Amino acid sequence: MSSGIIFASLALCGFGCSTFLVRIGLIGVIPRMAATISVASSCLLLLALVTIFYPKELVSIEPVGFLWALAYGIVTFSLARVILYTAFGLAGATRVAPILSVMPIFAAIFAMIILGEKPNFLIIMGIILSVLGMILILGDRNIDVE
Amino acid sequence: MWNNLDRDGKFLLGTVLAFLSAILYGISQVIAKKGVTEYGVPPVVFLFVALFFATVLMFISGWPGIKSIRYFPRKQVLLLAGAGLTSGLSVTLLVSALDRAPVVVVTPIVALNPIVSLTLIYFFLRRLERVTKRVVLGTGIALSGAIFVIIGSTDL
Repeated sequence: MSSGIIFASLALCGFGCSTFLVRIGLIGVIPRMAATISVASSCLLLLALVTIFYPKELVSIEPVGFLWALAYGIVTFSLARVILYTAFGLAGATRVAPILSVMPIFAAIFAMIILGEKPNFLIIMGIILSVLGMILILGDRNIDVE
Repeated sequence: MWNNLDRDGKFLLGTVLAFLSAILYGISQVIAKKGVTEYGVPPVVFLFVALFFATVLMFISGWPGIKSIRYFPRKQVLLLAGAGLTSGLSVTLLVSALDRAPVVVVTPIVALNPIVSLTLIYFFLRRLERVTKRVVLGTGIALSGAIFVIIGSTDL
């Protein structure tokens, strides 16, 4: 469990830096093209990691697992990332990035429906607080976007 | 495509798209959990397959517009490539985290990434966007929510 939390915390820092870089990189670039450049460079990184550490596992991947990976690629990269970059271009990172805080709610709902996971009281409280924070941010009309 | 919209229209559409993106990311967490834990696919391999097909799909659907990338300012391309590398590394960590802890613990922590991005924007992008007190307060409340989730996760 604790290693999972450490990895999640590192991912949190990485995503934060990525958002910052996207915000600057999007200036003068079509969001869809920006997403393509970003996804392709992510792919190159993963290609290097797989070639070095998991060459056998790549060949022996189960067909069902392969299909889940395919679904993940379409939902996360081909759809979500393009939509997110478009949102960044329209409303700015200061507004859009905090909106992603509602993601746990959807993840929890889908996890309960599909995986049968049960969040406890504290987790539910944490999600509610995250949403409250987001509402405060969304209500702010003084965020300038150039 | 969105040039005809006024400032409020762009904000509204951007907000709606951001919510849509959040829903899709929420679904993707469950897909990753299912693929990695139930079918034993190593997270990095899982991600590579996903990214490879997404890249191919985006190149095919974006053609011939993709060819115009060569005319983009080099600085912008490098920044976006840097964002992709950072994001790729982060997604690898995220899927590895999902392999070790429940979705309801991992996703709220990762969802707090605006704290990092807002901090960077505050210090380096003041001319583009303004980080107000309300944004800082809202982000702080969201952070306290994550602490609740982390404490709650010890009971799981």
